[in-house]
Amino acid sequence: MNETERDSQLSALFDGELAADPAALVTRRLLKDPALRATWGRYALIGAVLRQEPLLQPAGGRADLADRVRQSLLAEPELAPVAPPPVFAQPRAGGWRRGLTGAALAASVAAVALLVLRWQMPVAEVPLAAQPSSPSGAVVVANVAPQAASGVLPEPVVSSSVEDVAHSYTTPRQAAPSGARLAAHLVDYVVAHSDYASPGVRLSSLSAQMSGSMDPAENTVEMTKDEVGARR
Amino acid sequence: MHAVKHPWTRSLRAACWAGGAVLWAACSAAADDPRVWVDRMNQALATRNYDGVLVHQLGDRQDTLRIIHRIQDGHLTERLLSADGSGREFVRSDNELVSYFPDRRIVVVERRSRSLGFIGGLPGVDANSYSQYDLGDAEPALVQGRPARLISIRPRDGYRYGYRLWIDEKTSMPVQTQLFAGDGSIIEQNTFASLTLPAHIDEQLLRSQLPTDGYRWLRRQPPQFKPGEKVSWAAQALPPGFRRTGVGGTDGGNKPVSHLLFSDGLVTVSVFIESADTPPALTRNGTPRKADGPAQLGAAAAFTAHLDGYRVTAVGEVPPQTVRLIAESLRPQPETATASPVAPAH
Repeated sequence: MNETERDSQLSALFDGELAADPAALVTRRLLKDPALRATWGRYALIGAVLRQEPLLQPAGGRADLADRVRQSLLAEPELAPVAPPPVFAQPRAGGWRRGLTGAALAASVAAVALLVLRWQMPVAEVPLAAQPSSPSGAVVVANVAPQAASGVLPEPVVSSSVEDVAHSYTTPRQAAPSGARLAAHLVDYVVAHSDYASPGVRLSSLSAQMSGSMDPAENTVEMTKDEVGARR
Repeated sequence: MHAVKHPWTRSLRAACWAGGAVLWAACSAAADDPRVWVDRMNQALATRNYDGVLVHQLGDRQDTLRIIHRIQDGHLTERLLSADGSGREFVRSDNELVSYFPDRRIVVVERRSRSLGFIGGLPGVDANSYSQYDLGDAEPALVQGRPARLISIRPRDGYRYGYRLWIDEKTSMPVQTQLFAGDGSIIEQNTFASLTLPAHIDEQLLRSQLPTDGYRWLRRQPPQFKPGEKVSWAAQALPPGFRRTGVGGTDGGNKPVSHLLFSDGLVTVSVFIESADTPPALTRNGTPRKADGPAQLGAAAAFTAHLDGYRVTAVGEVPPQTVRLIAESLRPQPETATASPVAPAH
């Protein structure tokens, strides 16, 4: 099974869409494979964020964040049967490995939360090949504007408080069953709105797709062979 | 022969001077009028071909894209190529958007209700804008060594965002734009790192060259809306300057959703209303999941409120409080439709 298939099976399991036999298989793999468990944890976290379960308290630090995420995850009925406790274990005397796992989780949880809250992503390079410049009206050819390159924009409007936490567009394929419905609605709404969106900001939804925070495959159906053939 | 100075020659000359002065004053006023520059920019965006490298910043996120945009015989074709190494591409031909995700081996095809490029103009800047926004003169500026005009459109209150546009003097193209909040923080910024305006753009440049063999081709289901039920909706208390401007293009589907549009002239907020008969799912300890409230996608804020069995969601590039106020102010009106905001009858 390649990575994509594995991910899609995991996603289907998460959505409760997998038949009993493959579900049992994936569950067994889940129990054995830490990477798969980490993916599962991310799905669960994203589900929690989608449902706007409080992840942050105004004065909370990272440990607090991780703890809250853990609690909110364990409170999820659909997670309870398979959520592997070691992943969420707190550091404990004598259990350095578990401690490490916990710390790693805290870090990755914080990272995912940052991603969700602030759209934090690596800065893109500009490796475009030089184009033959046009004779008519060459306008600007220079380096990226300094402020663009250094990425010093202030905080975006999100993330100042729990109220502002994005609870959508972060879903891998489909999030937990109850959260997914709302997300799908919002995706529909945002798509419908984007044709009326303010200028410039039309790129927002594109940016969301590029960052992976809005799943491009959301609300899609497979095209028929004929349809695809006609396009080529 | 000697030229004789007639009195009327002198007065004609004086008149010319006076006329010239008026003309000059008018010209220089126009040169500084932000509305004139915004009109020129809108015109350039709607008619010119361009090919440039755009740096798009949204909060901490930054994307670099090459954007190739062609208007030919009234048809829009646009191709965006990501420079992040993922190979992602977006090709727009009028109403159709095709997105290529080679990293996931999928192609997503979708239809949009309007034919628009990714870089939009700023229609709606007119005399009315001054009541909600503070428009300064078009200030001379330099962008990457080229003369430009900086247009600042500052919000007069906290219910809307402001815009800064750097418009190239020669080409009227927006070489840089910003969307900013009332406290001055920048929400979104577009900067052209390079830009050319070719008279002709080859068809080949507008087509994805990706080998899509083995890719999954997906069609995004367009929002399948049809105009909502008989219930008409009225807003009780809209944010200052906002009024109902119409309904969105949401026909052709079978899901009854009302799509209402509200605008202050510059920014548009969409409101989607559909009946939500299913109660929110419960968590294990019996409390309803919080399935509504605020959300944020990039520069767009959303707020969902539940009312009398309806789900009301407002979405727009405005501060969170604005979508919240709009979503919470809507009330169903029995029977007769009223387009304008109406106070509830007692």
